[in-house]
Amino acid sequence: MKTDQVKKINYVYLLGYILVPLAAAAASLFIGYTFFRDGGVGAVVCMFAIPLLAVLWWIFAGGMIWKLSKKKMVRRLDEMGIDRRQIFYSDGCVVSMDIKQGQIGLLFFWNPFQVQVAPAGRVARAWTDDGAGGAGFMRGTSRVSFLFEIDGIKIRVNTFISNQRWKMNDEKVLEGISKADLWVQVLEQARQQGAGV
Amino acid sequence: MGLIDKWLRKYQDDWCRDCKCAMEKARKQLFALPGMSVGHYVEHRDADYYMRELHMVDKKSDIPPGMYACGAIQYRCPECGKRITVLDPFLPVRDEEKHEGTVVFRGGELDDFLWW
Repeated sequence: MKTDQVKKINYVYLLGYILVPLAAAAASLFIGYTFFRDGGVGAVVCMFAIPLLAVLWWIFAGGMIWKLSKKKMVRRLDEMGIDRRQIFYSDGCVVSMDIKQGQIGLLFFWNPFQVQVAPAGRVARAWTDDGAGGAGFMRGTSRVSFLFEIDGIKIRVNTFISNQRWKMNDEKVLEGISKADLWVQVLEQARQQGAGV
Repeated sequence: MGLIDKWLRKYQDDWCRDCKCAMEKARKQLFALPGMSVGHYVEHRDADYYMRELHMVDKKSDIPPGMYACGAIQYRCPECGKRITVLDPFLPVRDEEKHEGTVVFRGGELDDFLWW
């Protein structure tokens, strides 16, 4: 259980995720070029198979690690006796809130091996960002999220995200805003309870 | 029966199928549906569910964010006096509403509960 400062990014993991396959692919290409110039199985492995594995790692590994981490988070919260019925899975972050115990559980995409639990009283403020932009009939959004500040770190949790702009009264956008408003209320409630307001 | 009448019978909740006329709004009331939250809406068509879950509220602002609301309207046919109740579950989001489709009760199943 981590109760020290919330950490969104594990830089060792981030750099390892990007650089280790890159280094492996580069080394493999070098070995292939140096020792297997005449072709053969060694050349196929070094010049094709290992670089392909590196690319596959970049494409799929992040998602797979994230999926496993989310399952692990649920198990960890259960072990710690934290009520996880109020949990929100976003693309880059999972937030769980136990209002009774005043504990907030966090898991980040770029820090997937650390389930971080902190007292909700450390949440400084929470608000909704509906991402509205444009004027007139072009007014719309491509992202709705709720944000909160904990230990001076701003955390954004997307409740709706799209690669195109949707009208503000679109059903998907409305659902995103409602989810964000609900979570802001939950965070505020837990914060006030934690702060003894 | 003309095409328009067929359409009205099929799609208009507030249409008396026997007298072929529009029904008038007799009563309406707003309820909260605390058992239904954003992202977890499931359509129910049985009256027992609504009798268990509906909680009367005065205005939309009484319903907390993320909770579903349900508008109930009773229609009365001015000619034959037949009554129907239409429930309209929706998610209130600030000034907007996300409607999920109406549920119509033609047999008076909810009358005692809603209009006591």
